[in-house]
Amino acid sequence: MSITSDIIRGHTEAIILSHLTEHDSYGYQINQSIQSKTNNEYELKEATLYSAFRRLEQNGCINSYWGDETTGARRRYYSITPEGRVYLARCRADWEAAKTLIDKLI
Amino acid sequence: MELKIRQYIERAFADVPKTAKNNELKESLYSDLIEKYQDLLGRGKTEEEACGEVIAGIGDLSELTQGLIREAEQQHVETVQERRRSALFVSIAVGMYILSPLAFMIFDELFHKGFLAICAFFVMVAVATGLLIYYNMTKPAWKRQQEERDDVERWLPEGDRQVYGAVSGALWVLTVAVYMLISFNYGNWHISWVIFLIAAAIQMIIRAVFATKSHH
Repeated sequence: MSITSDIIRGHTEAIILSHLTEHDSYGYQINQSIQSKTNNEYELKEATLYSAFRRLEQNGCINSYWGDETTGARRRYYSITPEGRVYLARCRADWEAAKTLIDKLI
Repeated sequence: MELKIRQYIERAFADVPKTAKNNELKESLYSDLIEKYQDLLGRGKTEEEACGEVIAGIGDLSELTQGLIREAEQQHVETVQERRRSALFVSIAVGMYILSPLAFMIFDELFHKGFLAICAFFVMVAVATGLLIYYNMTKPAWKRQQEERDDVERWLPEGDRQVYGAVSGALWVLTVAVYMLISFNYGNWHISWVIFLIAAAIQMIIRAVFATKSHH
């Protein structure tokens, strides 16, 4: 499990971007969707998630804004930018290439 | 228990400079954690269990916080360098503007070369203007953004913004014209530069008038 986690962690940014192509979202919602897509087998640490948010925002891959919730805590929403989509496409291509290679090797 | 999560986050961010951007990051992280905590309570966990699970799930925040600290230090160094550069350019340019009539007088009065005097005057004005333009064009992007955010014109409504721009522009053109007229007419260069201080004061008043107007 820990080896799997390490591999997945290397793709945190692509996972976030991929989720944001569906709709704008905030940290906890992204993590919940990761959990439900993996049948509770995988969950990101908040530290990993927020480090990735910061890197993505610095590189112009995502934008953020405060939601207008009237009740409860306000949420910080993230949305993907055109640059983010380009980056995601490259990540997917990289992953496909790596998958093919590793399949041949092990 | 929510207080315990708050304290955990505050401790982790203790050394991070409290800028608006960093606070936003911290607050959004905190609101995520609280939502998770409430969810866990809803699923029947006790407060202690929920709190423990939330804090255990955060992971190692040091990569994030160290990154924010490094970024702030980097920006601080850049700000100091940038301030020195801007002070150098602006003071040389302003100095040349102020001294340009002096150059005119030296050539005119001492050497009786009227044409050279006018040339010297315009060369100094041109070089000073060139310096300011060069400085503005080579200004780093982050400083430009900062200035745009701080600028009075940003928070004025569209119509007012145009009026404000026109009034300010007219003020400074008029000031230069009055300065030239008075100084050449009366030859009182030693005192006539005060006009620029008066113009700066008028600019502040105009700014204040627009500010009060847009608050209503």
